[in-house]
Amino acid sequence: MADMGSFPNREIPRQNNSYGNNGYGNNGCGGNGYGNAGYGNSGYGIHGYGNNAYGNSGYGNNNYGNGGYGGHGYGNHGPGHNGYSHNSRGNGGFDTFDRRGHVDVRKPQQQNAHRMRNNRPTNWQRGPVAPAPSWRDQSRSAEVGGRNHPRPRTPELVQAEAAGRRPYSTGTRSSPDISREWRSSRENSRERGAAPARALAAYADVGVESEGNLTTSIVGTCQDMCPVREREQRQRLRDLAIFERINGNTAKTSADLAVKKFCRTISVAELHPSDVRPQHVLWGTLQYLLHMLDRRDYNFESVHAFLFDRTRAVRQELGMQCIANSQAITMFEEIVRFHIMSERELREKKVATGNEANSQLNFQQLSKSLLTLLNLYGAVDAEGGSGWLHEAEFYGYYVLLNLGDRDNFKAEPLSLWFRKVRSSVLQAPDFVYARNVLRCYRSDNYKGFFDLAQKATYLQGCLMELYFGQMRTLALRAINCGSYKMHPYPVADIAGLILMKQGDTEELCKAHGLITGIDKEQHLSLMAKQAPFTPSTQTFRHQCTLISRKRAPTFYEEIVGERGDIER
Amino acid sequence: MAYGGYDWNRRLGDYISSVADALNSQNGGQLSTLISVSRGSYCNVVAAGLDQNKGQDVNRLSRQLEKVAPLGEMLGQHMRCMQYFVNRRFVDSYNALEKSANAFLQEFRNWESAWAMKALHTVAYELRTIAEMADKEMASNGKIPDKLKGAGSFLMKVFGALAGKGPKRVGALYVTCQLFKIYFKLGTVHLCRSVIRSIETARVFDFEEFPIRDRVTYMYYTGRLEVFNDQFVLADQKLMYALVHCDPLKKNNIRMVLKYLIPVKLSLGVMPSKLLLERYGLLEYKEVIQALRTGDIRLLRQALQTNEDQFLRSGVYLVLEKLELQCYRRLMRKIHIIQKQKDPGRAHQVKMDCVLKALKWLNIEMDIDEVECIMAILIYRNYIKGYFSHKSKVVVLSKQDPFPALTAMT
Repeated sequence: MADMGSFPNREIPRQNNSYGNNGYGNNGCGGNGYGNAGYGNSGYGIHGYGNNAYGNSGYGNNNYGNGGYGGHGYGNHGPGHNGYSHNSRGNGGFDTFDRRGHVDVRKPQQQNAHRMRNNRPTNWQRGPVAPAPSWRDQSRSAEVGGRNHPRPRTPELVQAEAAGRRPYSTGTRSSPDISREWRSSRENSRERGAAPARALAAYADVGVESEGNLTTSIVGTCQDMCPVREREQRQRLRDLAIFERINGNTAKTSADLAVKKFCRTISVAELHPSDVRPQHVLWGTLQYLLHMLDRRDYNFESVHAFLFDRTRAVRQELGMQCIANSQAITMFEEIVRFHIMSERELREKKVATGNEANSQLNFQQLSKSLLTLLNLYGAVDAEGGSGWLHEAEFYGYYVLLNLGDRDNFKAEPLSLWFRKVRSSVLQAPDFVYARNVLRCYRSDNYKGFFDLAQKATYLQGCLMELYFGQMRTLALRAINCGSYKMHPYPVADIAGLILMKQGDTEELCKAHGLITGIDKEQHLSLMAKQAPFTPSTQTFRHQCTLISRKRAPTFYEEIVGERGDIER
Repeated sequence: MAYGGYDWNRRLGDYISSVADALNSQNGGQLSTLISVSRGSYCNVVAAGLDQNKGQDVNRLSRQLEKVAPLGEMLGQHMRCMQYFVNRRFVDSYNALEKSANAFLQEFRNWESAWAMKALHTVAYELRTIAEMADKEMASNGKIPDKLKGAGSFLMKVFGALAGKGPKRVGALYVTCQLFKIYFKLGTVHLCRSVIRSIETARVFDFEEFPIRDRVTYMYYTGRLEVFNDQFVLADQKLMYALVHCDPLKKNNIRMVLKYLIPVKLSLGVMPSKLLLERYGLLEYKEVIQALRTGDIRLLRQALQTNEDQFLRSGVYLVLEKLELQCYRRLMRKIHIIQKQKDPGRAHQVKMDCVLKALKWLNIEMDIDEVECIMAILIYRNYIKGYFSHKSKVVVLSKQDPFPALTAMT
């Protein structure tokens, strides 16, 4: 391995799998990392540093575009040669073809189609990324001898850039400072409080949405529902939701009305504690939000959209601060209930407007928050040793959501999932209920299923309603198949069986290609053994009034229930 | 503990020379024995030797080796791994092992022939085993365990190196099985799909060319996957293959296959003999089978309840629950037989009320509508041939073959 370029790195040990790179996908000398095969060294076509290691820790990881794809990084044949290392953006990306047409094709070893995850905890913080200069810029800079990059491209600087931090353009920063800053920010973050690891584990499973540095956590100090900075910015940009406006004024809001928005890309390092709300503020915010569900002045969809976004921000901040305690659990419980309830409300709208999007997004977030909640139950020990009050309820919801898990190949099969369930939960009535539903569903026992539906709580009913269509079709099929020719089956009886009104049942039959007629006793009946049974293409989403009746008088009450014991 | 200083040093030196010999003579078997960690006998030697000589560092030793054979850096890391292992520092041991394995893999890729396959397999096995131990250690220290996941990723890479055409392919199945074990342990079984696809869509390679041990293990795991997906016919094929080809002396393995095969067979209507259950210690299924034979739904539910933990842990609980329909079928059959004895002419007409009474006698509360529902489903699923009348609440069984064989459907 010849050292190319001006960075002899003889003192750096070979085979250094440092920094987020385990040297995978990289052949040559096991080195693709920083200091790995030294800088400017050709592992294989990966010349230079900044190449594979950075920004690749685990995200768009090392394999792609990593060496192989002509990632001539820096310091390769001298600084600024091929411009920015394309890999510095943590996207071990596919955009790493060296635009100079110089693709390194020593690829065969790189055939891992499999993403290698770097399993070390990342020390990088993904931050707002400086826009990558186009290749034109790169070549220009190289030709002009690095005009755009007056500073020497030292390893630390490249590293910092690769980590996605904005390279500071203030010329005063020299490399030693940067490395010191980097090191010290690491220490700082350690002081912020390493999160209790189990709490981390609870949030890590679904990926804390902030995608921040998982080994640190931040403690917020913002006392309002929305941090002042954001409030002012949004006022300026007129980016205020209806509910946040004072008297409808799109440019004015107040501390009582504004609620922090969900922001997808946040780097924990860039965040100031005054931008983050501490636990008690999050609690207050959530209560405020949930009370909005019962407003009569706006339709449900707008309220839902607002809540959807704002509760997501609440969840994000809980995760960012790695808060794992009983109040956090309660908050998650309420949010999950909100999503379940919305699922039902939105389904109605879906039929009317044909707009699937909202319901699907809601469903996604429902699954995510439920998973986090289940993890939290495992991570936090309940006081008094008797377990969490509502744990079985939510485990039950998980089962209800996954009744037909055969169809979803991505999920862990229920059979395997059951292994993890605690025995205290297994015996609890709410969970037993869910298991009974599962049993009826899998045995095609439609009567049992609908019987259980009648006994369900409102939220359980919301989830079971997802399967009503299937089960009703099944019932019609079975009845059509086995019923006696000479004794037509009264439609009224079917209706009672499948919890529909008679008129709706008639329509349902028609939708399946089944004819009904008046029989000898003047009842509307279904003739047996009708040949073409067409699966209904129409989705019947009549809200089952039975379930509607189960709901508590207000949405808020349904979600929050009686809460005498929880401290504020 | 005092080691005779010179002695350990020399033994370490001997160890290194044996490794060099093995490498130079391309003796895969010997190499495999030498680098075995959790099952190996050389760990103590290595660890003691390294401990003894603080001055002598691993790098120097590996450079020594490098002069005579490749894989110096691999050995260096590997020796560290062994040292940590003996000192029960599993996380460090795993980290060193991964580095060592990486170095090994690089070289392995360059070798034309597959002489080192056995050694590679040993490495794969060690990766999984030590990763599991490392995870336990991490969990007990309050950290998120991720070593096993890492081992999974790494082994995928190894698989990638083996799965192409050529003499190395024959070792791919072993690595596949290690991967299966990892995924099953982690619960991420959906990751098995890509590996399975790779193995099963090979056109140049015949499955039968893999070593038999690997084939049995492979079929065992893929059979289990089919069970999870309720594909009983496929599961039957695969698990039967595993059973048939399994070494008859390996009773434990046979037992593992049977544990999953029995529920599958039951779903297809085939009952194992009591002798089989006794011989392989699978008595938890005894009551289930008895319930199925007699149509005793109460007994079935009880049996599931009693052995709930066991069945849940092995993941067959949901499969067994589905057997309830079969139980109803059996009950109907019994009623039919009894009626035939009393009044052959009208035996094929079974009043739903009668079924209701039978169930009540078994302490199962049901209303007539639910009985009708079950009858409807039995007919719909072809467990029974006949029809039912909602008006008169009667099930009329077909005069010919009212109970078709269970294996006929699905």
